[in-house]
Amino acid sequence: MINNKLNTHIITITVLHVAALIFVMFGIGTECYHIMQHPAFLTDWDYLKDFLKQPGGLGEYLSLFIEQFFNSYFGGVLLIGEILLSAWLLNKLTNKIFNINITSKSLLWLLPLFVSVMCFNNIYFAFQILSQFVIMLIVMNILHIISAENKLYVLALAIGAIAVYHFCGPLYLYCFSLSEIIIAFATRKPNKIIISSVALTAAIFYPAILYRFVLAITPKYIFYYPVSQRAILEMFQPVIFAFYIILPLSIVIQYFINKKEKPFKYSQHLYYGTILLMIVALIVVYQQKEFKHQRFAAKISYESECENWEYVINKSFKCGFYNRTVNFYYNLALAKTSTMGRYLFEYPQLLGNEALTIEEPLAGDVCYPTSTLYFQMGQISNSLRYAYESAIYYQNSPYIMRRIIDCLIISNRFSEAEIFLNQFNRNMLAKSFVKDRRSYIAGARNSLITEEFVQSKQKESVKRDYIMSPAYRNYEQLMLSNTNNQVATDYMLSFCLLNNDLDNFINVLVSSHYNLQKLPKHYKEAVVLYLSKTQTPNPKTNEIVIDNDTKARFNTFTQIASNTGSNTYNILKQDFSNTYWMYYTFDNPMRKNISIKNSTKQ
Amino acid sequence: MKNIFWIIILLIISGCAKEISNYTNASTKPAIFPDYTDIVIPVNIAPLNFKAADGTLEMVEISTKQGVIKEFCNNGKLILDISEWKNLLKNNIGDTLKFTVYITDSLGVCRKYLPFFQFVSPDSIDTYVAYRNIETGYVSWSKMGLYQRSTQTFDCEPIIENSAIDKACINCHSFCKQSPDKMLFHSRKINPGTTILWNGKLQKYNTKTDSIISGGVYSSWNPNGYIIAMSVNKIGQRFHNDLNKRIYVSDSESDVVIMNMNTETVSTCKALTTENLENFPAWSPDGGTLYYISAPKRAEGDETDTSLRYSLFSIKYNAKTDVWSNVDTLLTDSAAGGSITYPKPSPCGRYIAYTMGERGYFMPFNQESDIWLLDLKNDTIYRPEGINSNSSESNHNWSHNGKWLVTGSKYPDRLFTKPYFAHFNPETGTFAKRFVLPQEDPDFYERYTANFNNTDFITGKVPTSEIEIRDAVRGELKSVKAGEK
Repeated sequence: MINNKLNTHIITITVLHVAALIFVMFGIGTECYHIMQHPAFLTDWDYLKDFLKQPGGLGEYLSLFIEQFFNSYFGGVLLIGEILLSAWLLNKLTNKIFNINITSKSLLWLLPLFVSVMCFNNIYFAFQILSQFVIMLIVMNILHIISAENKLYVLALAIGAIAVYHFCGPLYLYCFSLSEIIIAFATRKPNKIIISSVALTAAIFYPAILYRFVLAITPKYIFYYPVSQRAILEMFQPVIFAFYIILPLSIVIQYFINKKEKPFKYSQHLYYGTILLMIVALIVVYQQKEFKHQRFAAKISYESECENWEYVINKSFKCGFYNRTVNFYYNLALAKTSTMGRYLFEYPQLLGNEALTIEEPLAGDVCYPTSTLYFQMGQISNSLRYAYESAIYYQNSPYIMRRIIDCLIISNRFSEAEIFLNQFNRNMLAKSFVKDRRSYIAGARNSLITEEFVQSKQKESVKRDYIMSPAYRNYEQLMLSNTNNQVATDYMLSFCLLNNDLDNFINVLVSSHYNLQKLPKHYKEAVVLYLSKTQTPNPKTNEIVIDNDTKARFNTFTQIASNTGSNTYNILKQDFSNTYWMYYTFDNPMRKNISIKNSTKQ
Repeated sequence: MKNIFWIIILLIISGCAKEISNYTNASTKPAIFPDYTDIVIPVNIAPLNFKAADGTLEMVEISTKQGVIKEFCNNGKLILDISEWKNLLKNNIGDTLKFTVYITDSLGVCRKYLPFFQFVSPDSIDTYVAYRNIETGYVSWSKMGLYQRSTQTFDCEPIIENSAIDKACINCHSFCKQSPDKMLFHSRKINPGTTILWNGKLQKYNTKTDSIISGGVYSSWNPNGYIIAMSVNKIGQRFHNDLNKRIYVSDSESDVVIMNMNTETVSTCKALTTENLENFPAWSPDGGTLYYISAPKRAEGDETDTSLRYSLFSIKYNAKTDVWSNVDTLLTDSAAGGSITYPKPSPCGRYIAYTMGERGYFMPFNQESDIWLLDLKNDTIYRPEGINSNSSESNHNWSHNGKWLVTGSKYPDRLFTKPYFAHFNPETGTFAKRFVLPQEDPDFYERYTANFNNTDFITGKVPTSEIEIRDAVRGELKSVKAGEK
């Protein structure tokens, strides 16, 4: 029996290790929505102090510690493995000495829990919950070691409860106390049932008591920020509550099933069965369309940040659904590969020009992409502005810190950059980056951020002052500053097209660097459309060469379109779905009355 | 065994406190961070810990009339013991502390620099400063709060953090004569309203009435303790490509209104609710005059106009009879040479400290903005030495005794606002060289990526707890009554 148990544990740990390995190896991590915006872990005492001040702070601290290793591949796997292994060994020790076996089974709950949080695409919270839960289990184990003989149970319970509250947070305190009651109940220990019931009542009121009375006489340093709201509670309440209810509930079910048996026995089959059921349920949730779309958008977002533009374009073509983030990065990828004029309408532009930039509504998940857009475009001031905004939502995020520092270096604002370098240097994984940028600031030209790169960005950027809104003003100014700025030019032209503003499209086109005799597909389509609608066309359009095929296709389009039959749209869609004419006539959001407000959830 | 223990202790001590014998004499004063060289400090200030701006600080000799104290520096930082520091200041009131520092450069050469001085002024500074902590976003906010920081120690506590009030934006705090007993601040977006601590009671008010354009924004308490002048503004902001300007905040409309706490009414005055943009009210120390700024309203739809300039005005007010007199123009923008904002009369009543910049009234992001003084006695204006830099200076406030001015300055990084104190001599109208709010760790300002917004002196801690304030902000919103015009 002991060997069987041991085997089960070893298999479990191995499975978890392998799962973690697969998680990293197959790059599933890149699909996590916030992986590129997670906060940086800092290594100094001040940073730890800030966390210790808050209920649940230690768990959060540990989660940040673990999560940072997902910047470098295998560190995260090893650390997760080590934590689980340590917990398992601790349990083995407890089990051997005191015959208490709660941790290893509970540890299995980490797996569905982890999967459940991964459904929300947020690795940081997954680790946070994981860390807090491990801490709680360790405290529970210590409690049982100390109180095995009933001698110190009350004291151990009190200390344990306080530790759980401060290290893990209020919710874990309730879970801890409730579990204690159930364990006492299941193990037929009436004294402990009463004591732990009292403990649960105390736990419910503990934060309030602490808040109202204890704070007045305790050093503020220890019990600070009592009223802080934990974002995790707000965002993942249903998942967490479900989890907390299921754990004690499972033990209760066990109790009733084995009611006749004395002493109480715990059925492993039912326990593993429940876990399996939960995992299956979570996988089903994980496969839901909405999550799939979110994950895909996150993947596209990640690949764009890595500048894998071809990947972004190819995958977006085939994704088969509309998503604003995908639309945004698809457009950027086209501009970066100088194919915007050719492929813009291959992906449905359902939001019109509102998908060129995603500045509104301002939130954490749009600030950083917008900063990326302007950085790629060469509008460093605006990129910096959105990076600052983004830093509000994701404080100390390595990606944002790097962006801010690079923008400041490009803008020759070294003293400002130095403050962020000092801050970023507190992250142990950022040290090489900081060293590199410092060497650049000091005048060394062998750093990773090359002089050519900085100069090219400086060349693209606009020297004169202007008000950076609305968005098109940035494209306009960038074009005026450097007529060869391909990204800005394509964005300006696309803005006009998506706005159905053909007059300005022509004005921009004829003054751009484009060879008017070899225009890309959509630009030609727009010119033909413009010429058909204008009595007095811009004289420079005479220089534009339109091939016969385009003209012929446009004639066909107009002939079918003039047919007012109810099926016209579907007929045209067969042959002209990826043309500007289709967008102009049918698909533009102004016609469909689609606005960003009611499509942000897509 | 006991002897061995003491020998080890002695060895450790001697190892730490090693005399510096091998050094060369430098012919300059040292560069230290923060810059606390040759300044006037209040007798009750917290220790001014510092480090070398470049190199490693090895030792500091502090010479006083009582003798020389040698401080050996761990990790290149001078971290002074608070109680020893307090004694040092107490024993040297009206005298000078002489600091001689030894710094080792990157090549390992130790230099003894020429001494610098700190004059211990008998003029004490208010025991707390209150400020809003805000990150460097322009539109977004996440964690922010109002904090009270002791000027005598490094203790800092929140008055209210927005985590307690559903992440609302907290702004524009104001105290009556630097007293923590009368305070107000606004919360925005979530739990909106103006929370006022008055006569020991906290109440959140909706200060918007049908006859005014918005709720209160920038406030000033009349010294009588029950009248509050508030600006009401329709604020917009635009972002500049020029990083020296960054953001331009302007109003499409603004007026000044009066809130009476006794009657819980908000009333308007014709002179303060004109077509022009009245803003930033500030009461004189006797409460009989209201200073404010005003500018002509800009043309509708002129989005690129950034040339709006404010002038300084005053209007007499009789609080007993609630009667206003005529408006006086104190200083026009053209006479001042720029846009005037943030007028703050000195407690002695003779001076008005104001911020002057190129345009508008919101100066924290205008790197060219400086603090100026208007001497009402001589009717002169000047840019005082000691309190300005090439970075933005704004959001200044006087201590209750009028001997200290705190300014929000983005010096030296030009990005983050930090509070600087400077001693003021009302007789001569001059300031001593300013110094930044001391922090326990001299590295603090080199890595702190948030702003000390609108630092104001208070003479003690705010008497209500964060919980009470939280409950007030989350609690009932009381609408004010519209007063007579």
